[in-house]
Amino acid sequence: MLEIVRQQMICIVAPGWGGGAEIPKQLHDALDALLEDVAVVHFASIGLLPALAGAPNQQPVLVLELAVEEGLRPYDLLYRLVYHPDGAMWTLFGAMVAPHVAVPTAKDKEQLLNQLMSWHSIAAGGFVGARDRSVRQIKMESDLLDQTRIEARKLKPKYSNDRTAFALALARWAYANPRFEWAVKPAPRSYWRGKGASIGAKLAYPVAAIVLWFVVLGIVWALPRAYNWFFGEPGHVGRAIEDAVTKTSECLLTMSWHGLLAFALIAFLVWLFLVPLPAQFVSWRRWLNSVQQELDRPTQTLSSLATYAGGWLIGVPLLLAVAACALAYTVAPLAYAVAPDYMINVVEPKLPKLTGLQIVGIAVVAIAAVLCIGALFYRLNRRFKKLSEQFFHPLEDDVPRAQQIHPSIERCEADLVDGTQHMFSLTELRGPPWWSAWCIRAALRIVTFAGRVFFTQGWLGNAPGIHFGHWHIIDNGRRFLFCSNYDGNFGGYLDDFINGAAVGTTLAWRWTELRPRAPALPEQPGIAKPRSFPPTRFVVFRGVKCELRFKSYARDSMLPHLYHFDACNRTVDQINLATGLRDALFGERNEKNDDLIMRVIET
Amino acid sequence: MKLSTYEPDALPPGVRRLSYGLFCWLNRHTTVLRAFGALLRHWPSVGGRLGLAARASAVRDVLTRTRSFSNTAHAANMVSGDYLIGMDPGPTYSADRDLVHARLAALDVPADSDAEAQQRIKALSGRGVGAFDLIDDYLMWVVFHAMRPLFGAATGAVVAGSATASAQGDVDEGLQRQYMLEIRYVAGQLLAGSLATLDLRRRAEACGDALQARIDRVSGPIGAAWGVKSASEDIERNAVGLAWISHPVTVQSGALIVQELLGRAKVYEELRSKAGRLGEPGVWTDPEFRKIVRNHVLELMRFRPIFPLLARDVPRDTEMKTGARYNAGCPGGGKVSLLSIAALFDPSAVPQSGRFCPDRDWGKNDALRYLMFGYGTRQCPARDHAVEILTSALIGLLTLPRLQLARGEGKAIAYDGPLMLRMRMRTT
Amino acid sequence: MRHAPSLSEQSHDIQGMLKSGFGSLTTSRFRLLTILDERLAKAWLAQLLDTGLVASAEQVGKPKQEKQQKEPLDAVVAIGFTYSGLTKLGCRETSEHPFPTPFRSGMGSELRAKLLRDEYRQWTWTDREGPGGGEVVHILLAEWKARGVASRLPAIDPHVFSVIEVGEDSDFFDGDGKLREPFGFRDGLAQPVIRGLRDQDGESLKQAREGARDLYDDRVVEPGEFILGYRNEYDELTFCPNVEGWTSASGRFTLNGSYLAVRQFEQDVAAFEAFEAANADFAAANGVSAGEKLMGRRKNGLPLSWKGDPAVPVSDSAADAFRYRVEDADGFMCPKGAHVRRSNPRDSLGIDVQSSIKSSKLHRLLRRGRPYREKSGRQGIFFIACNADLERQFEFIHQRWLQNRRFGALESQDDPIVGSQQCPKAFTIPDQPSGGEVSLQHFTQTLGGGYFFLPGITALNFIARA
Repeated sequence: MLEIVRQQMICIVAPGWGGGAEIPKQLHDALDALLEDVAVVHFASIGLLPALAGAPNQQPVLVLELAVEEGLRPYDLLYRLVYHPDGAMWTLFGAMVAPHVAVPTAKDKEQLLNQLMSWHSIAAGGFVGARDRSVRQIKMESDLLDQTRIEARKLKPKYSNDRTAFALALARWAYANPRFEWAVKPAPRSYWRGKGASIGAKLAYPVAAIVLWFVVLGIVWALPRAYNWFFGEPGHVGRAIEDAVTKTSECLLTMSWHGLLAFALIAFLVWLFLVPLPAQFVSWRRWLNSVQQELDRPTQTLSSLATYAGGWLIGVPLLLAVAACALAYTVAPLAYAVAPDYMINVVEPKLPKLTGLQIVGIAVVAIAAVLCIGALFYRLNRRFKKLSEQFFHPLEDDVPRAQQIHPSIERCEADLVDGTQHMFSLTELRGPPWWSAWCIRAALRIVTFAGRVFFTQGWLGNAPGIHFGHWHIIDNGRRFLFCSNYDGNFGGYLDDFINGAAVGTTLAWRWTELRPRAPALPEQPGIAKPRSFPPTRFVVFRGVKCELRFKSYARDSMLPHLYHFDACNRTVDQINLATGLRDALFGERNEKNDDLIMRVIET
Repeated sequence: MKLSTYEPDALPPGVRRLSYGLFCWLNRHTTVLRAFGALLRHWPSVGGRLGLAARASAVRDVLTRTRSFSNTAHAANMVSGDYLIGMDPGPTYSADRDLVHARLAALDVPADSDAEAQQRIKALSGRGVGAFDLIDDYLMWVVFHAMRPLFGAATGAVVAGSATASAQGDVDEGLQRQYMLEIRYVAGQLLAGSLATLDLRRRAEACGDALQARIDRVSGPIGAAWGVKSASEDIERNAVGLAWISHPVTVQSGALIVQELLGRAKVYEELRSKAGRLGEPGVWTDPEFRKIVRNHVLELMRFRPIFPLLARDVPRDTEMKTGARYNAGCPGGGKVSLLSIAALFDPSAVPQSGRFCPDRDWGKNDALRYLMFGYGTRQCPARDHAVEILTSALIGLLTLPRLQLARGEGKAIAYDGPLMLRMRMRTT
Repeated sequence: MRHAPSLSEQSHDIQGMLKSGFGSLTTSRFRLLTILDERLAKAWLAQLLDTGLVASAEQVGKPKQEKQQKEPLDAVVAIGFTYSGLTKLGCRETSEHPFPTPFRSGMGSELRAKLLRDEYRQWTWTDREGPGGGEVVHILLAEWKARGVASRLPAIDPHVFSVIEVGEDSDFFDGDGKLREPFGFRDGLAQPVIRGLRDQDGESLKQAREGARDLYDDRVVEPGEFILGYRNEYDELTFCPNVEGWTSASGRFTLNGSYLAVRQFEQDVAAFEAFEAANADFAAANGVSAGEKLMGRRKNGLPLSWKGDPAVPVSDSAADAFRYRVEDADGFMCPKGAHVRRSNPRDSLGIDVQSSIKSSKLHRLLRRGRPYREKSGRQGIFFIACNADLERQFEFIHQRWLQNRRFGALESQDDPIVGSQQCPKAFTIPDQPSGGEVSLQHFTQTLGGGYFFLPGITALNFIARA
C-alpha cells in the first residue's frame, strides 16, 4: 500500500552531466511538450547535485524529479517517456548513455530505458496533498469551475435572490453541456478517502488481524483433537504430536492474551494521562504542556535543561520499567512452559502477593502522587516569581550565519512566485550510514502511512498546501534528497512544518548533516562549514522547533532547479474547490450542495 | 478521443490483490474452472443466483440475446477508446462493422502467414539448438505479417508513429517490436478485466494513450490506405481498435495452443510424425494435413480458450435461461458472467466432451465449436482468419525438431496477470 | 552559561518608536537622506544624538500619572539605515553574523521586486539600484512632534546629505485625537502588543483587557518578533547580526534594533471617492459602503462584523477584538479578500482557531507609519513596519497574502487597496445567496520603498562616533 505512494515520486539520479547550468531553450520546450502530451506527470524538475566526494566522475549529477499520478510503475512511466516520438528524453540523457548519437535507434532507446531504470529511485517516503486526481481531471475540473463562474455571472441578474433556483439553473446548464459529460460520475476517491474514511474502517484492519491470529491459533489447537475424534485414539507418535501442538498453541494463546492485555493497559494509561486527567485538573494540564514546551524549547533555559535531565533521570527509567513489566507479563507463560519448577519455586515467592483491591489502591495513589507533583511544580513557579523568571529566562545562544540565502535559490523562488513552489534539498547521512538509513526509512514509512491512511484531506498534520513532498536515500545510502512541490513560499512552508508537522519532519531529517561540498557548477550553492541537524531531544522533540538553525540548515542544503514543469498550476485549495464544485453541481440538489455552488462561484 | 483519467482503487487494500490473484490463477488453471463449471452445469440454479451461466444452451442463449445482454460490459476495460466489441448496435456499430469486414477482406491468409512462418522457422532452425521465445521470436511476427494488409500501405507509418517519408517503407524491427508491446498491454486490460490491479490498468492506459497519439499522428496515411473519406475521428477509432484487438489476442491464443499441445505428448508426437512424413514443402501444401492441423487448433483452443469467463451488461430487468427449473432473474444495471469454458465442455452439446478429440463430429452443434470467438451475430468477424493464421503457425512449429519448455533458466513461462509475456522453448 | 539580555533591563537602549506610536505627537514628517560626505554625516549624527531627540523606550509612553510629574516629550526622532547606508558609514558585517539576505539585497533590487510581486515600479527613492529607478537613500529620519512645536533637528547641510522630504509637517488627527488616513479610515488600529513593552500611551492595561474580553491574548506577541535579541514566537532568541569593531559585552551590534520595511504610498482620493459614489446603491442597501468592504473595516474603525450600534463609540481595544473563523468564515461581513483580512488573517487560515492564531502571530507587523500631505496636494501613507525577520514577516505578508492572486481560494484577485495587478480588476463581495463583484481601479501607487535597520541607542552612538 505504501509502494503505490512511493512510486508516485521518482528521482532519476544520473551522474556525469556534461552540460552547463542552464537547460537550452529548445530542450526546455521539448520537455514541456513531452510532459504535456504524456499527461500523467504533475510536476517535473531538474537539478544538479555536486558529485559525491570520492566518486571517480566529478561532473555534476543530474536529478530529474517526477511526481506522477497514482498507480504508474516507474518502468511503465519511463517506457512511455523514452519511447515518445518527440525524443526529448534522449536529448536530455542521450549524451550520458551513448555520446554523439543524434537520432537514436530502437536499441539506443532500450539502452537508455535500462540506464534510467538503474538510475531511478522511488521515494523512501512521501506525501501527496491533492490525492486521487489525475492531471486531466484537475484540468477538466478547473475548466468546469471557470465556465461555471462565467455562466453564473450571466445568470446572476435573473436569480440573485433565490439560491435554490440559481443552483438548479447552474446544475441544469452543466448537465446539458456536452463538454462536461465526464463530470456526471462523482469524483473518484480511493479507499482511505472514500469508503474507508471513517475511523471504524481504519480500526477494522488491526482488529481483524488480532481476531485472525486468535482464530488461527484456535484452529491449530483444535486440529489434532478433530483428527482423534475422527480416527480414534492415536498411537505414540500421534499422542506426542498432539501434546506438542496443544502445548505450543496454548502457550502462544496465553502469551497473546497477556500481550494484548498489557498493550491495552498501557494504552489506557497513556490515554488517562493525556486526555481525561488534563481535562479534569488544570495544574496537570499546564504541567504537561510546560514539559512539552521545555522539551521543544529551541533556545536553552535552565528550565529546559532541568526538564531534559529530569527526563533522563526519571522519565526514561520509568518508561523502561513499564515496558519491562509489560514484556515480563507477556513472556511469563513461555517461562512457565519451559521451566515450571523454577518459576514456581524460585520466582513466585519473590513476587509480592497483592489482592486486586490492593493493586487498584496502589494505582490510584500513584496517579494521585503524579498529579500532586505536577501541581507542586506549578505552585512553586507561581510562588517564587523572581526565581522562576530566572529559571525560564533564555540563556545566551549563538546561531552563526542565520537567515542567509544563496542568490540562485532566491532566483528560483522568484521565478515561481506565481505558481507552485519547488525545492531540492541535499544532505548527507550522519554516523554509520546503514543505521541512519534504516532509521530514516522506518520514520518515513510511518510518515507515509499516516499520510496515506489518516491525513487524506490535503493537510499533513496541520501543514497545508503540499502537492508532492518526498524523500530519497540516494548514492547507496550516503546522501539524502528531499524534493517538494508546495503552495506558498519556502519560509512559510517551513513554518507550517515547524508548527504543523514537527514530529514527522524531525524524524525524517534528524539523521542527516551537512558536510562541506563544492558547488556543482559555478554560481550554484556549495557548503563551506559542516553542520549537523538542529539538536533533538528524545528523538522527536526540539529539532525543527529551532527555527533559525532549522531554516538555515534547510536553506543551505538547497539546490536550485534548472527546469520546472507544473502541469496544472493550481493550488491544493483550488483543486479541492473544483472537485467540490463538480460533486455539488452533479450531485443531489440540497441546501449543502446549493450553498457550496454559491460559495464557489463567488471566489 | 477517449482520455484516460484514472480512477483510484476504491477497494480496501489487499482485497484487489487477492481477488485478482485468484482470477489469474483460475485463468491459468483451466481445469479448476472446468470443475467449477461442471458443478454449475449440474446445479444451474446455483449459478443463476450468482449471475453465472454455465450450460452450453444458457451461454448460447445469452450470447444471442444481444439486446438483453449487452457487450458494453467490455467498454470499461477498453482503455484506448470505444470500439465495436464494446458497442451496442446502432449506426456507428454498423458502419464500423462494415469497415472491419472490408479490411479483413484485404487479408491474404493463409498465404501471408505461411510465408512468414516459413521464414521465421528457417531463421530459428538456422540458429541451431538453443532456446527461443515462442511469443517474441515467432508468433508475434507471424501474426503481424499476416495482418499487415489491415493498414496496407500505412503499416510503416502506424508502426513508426509518424507520417514522415522515412516511415513509409519497412521500419526498424525494434520499432515494430515496441509497437507490438504497446498494443499488447492495451489488449491485456480487456483480458484482465475490471479486477485488474491499479498498476496494470495504469500501464494499459499509458499504452492506450500512446496508441491513440500514434494513430492520431498518422490518421491521414491510414485514411489514404483504406481509401475512405470518413471523419478523422471515425478513422482513428477504427484504426486504434483494429490495432490493439487483432494482434495481441491472436498471439495469446497461439501461445495457449502451444502450451496445451506440449502438455499432450502423444498428440504432439502424432502430429509431428505426420509432418515428418510429408516433408518440407508437403506440410505447407497438403490440404488434408492442413485440415487436420486446423482441427487440432480448434480443439486445443477448446481446452484453453482465451476468454474462459465473459461478462455482459444487463441494461434492463430480464431473465436468463440457465437451464434450471426457474429462470434466473437478472436485475437491470447488473452484469452476468458466462463460463464459456463450461459450455465448451457441456456433455449435452459436445459428444465425449472430456476427451481430446480434434476430429469430433459436432453435428448440429457445429457452431458451438467456435464459442471461444463468441456466438451469433456478435462473433468475432476475424474468426476464420485467426484460425488460419494459427494453423500456419502451428504447422511451422511442427517442422521443427521436438520442442519443450526451456526450464532451467528461471520459469519458462512468464505471466503478467492473465497475459503470457514469454514462453521460452528449446528443441531437443 | 549566561542569561541573554532581558527586555526590562534594556529599554533605555531601545528606540522609542518600538514601544509607542506617539499618539500624542500628532504632527509627523519623514526625511530620506543620501550621504554625500561620510565624515560630516557622522558628525551630524552625533549632533543629533546630543539633542536627546532620539528617545529611548524608557523615556516614552509612561503611564499618565508619571507623565504629569515629568515633562512629557513634545518631539521624538527615530533614525534607521539602509544596508548601503551602514556600509557607507563604515559598518562592516562580520562573516559569522552577517545581515539577513533580504536586508542586504534591498527592497529595490530586481530580485525583491519579483519576490514582492511588484509588477511595475516607478520609484522616486529606493534602498538599492533596481528596476524601479529612484534615488538610493541611506538614512530614514522620522520626526514626530506635538502640534505647534518647532523642530529642534540640527540643520541638515545640503553638502552632507541630499534630502528627500516626504510631505510637509502633516497632521491627520481629528478633533478627538483619532488618526485618519486620506481615504477617511481610522488608522493605527490592530497593532500587536509586545509582551513586556506595552505602549502605555492610550488605555490602561485593565481597560484594554476589558475591552478585548477574552481575545486580548490574540494580540500579545513576543518581543523577539520586533526587537532583535529577544525571545520570539518560536521561543527562540531572534538572530542578531554583528559588525566588525563592536565590543559591547551585553550583546551584538543589532541587539535592541529592528528592521523597518518602508513604503511610500500615494493615495488617489479622487478615484476612491469616485468608486464610493459609483457604488452608492451598495452602501444604501447594506449600510456599509463598498469602500469599507474593500478595506474590511468601517471608516470609524469598527469591524464590519460589529454587532452593536456603529454610531456608539467604543474603545480601540474593543474595536479590535474580533476573529473570522467562526462568525465570518465565508466573508459575508468582512470579504475574504479585504485589505485587513489579507494583512492579518487572524484565525482564518489554519486548521483550527488556536493553531491559526499561533501561526498568524509569526507574521505580524508593528506599523509606525503616518499619512503625509504635500504642497502639491499629493497625499498618502508613509508606511513603516517594524519586524525582526523581514522574510517571515513583511515579505511573507506582502508576497503570500497581499499580492497573492490566489489568496484563500480566490481567483486572480490581489489586495484591493495595495495590489499591483493590472486594472480594472475585480473584487468579490461575498453575500447571500451569492455575492457580487465590483470593478476596481488603482487607488494607491507606490512611490518608493526600502529596508532600513533601526539600531539600538548604543549602536547609534557607535555608528556616529566610532
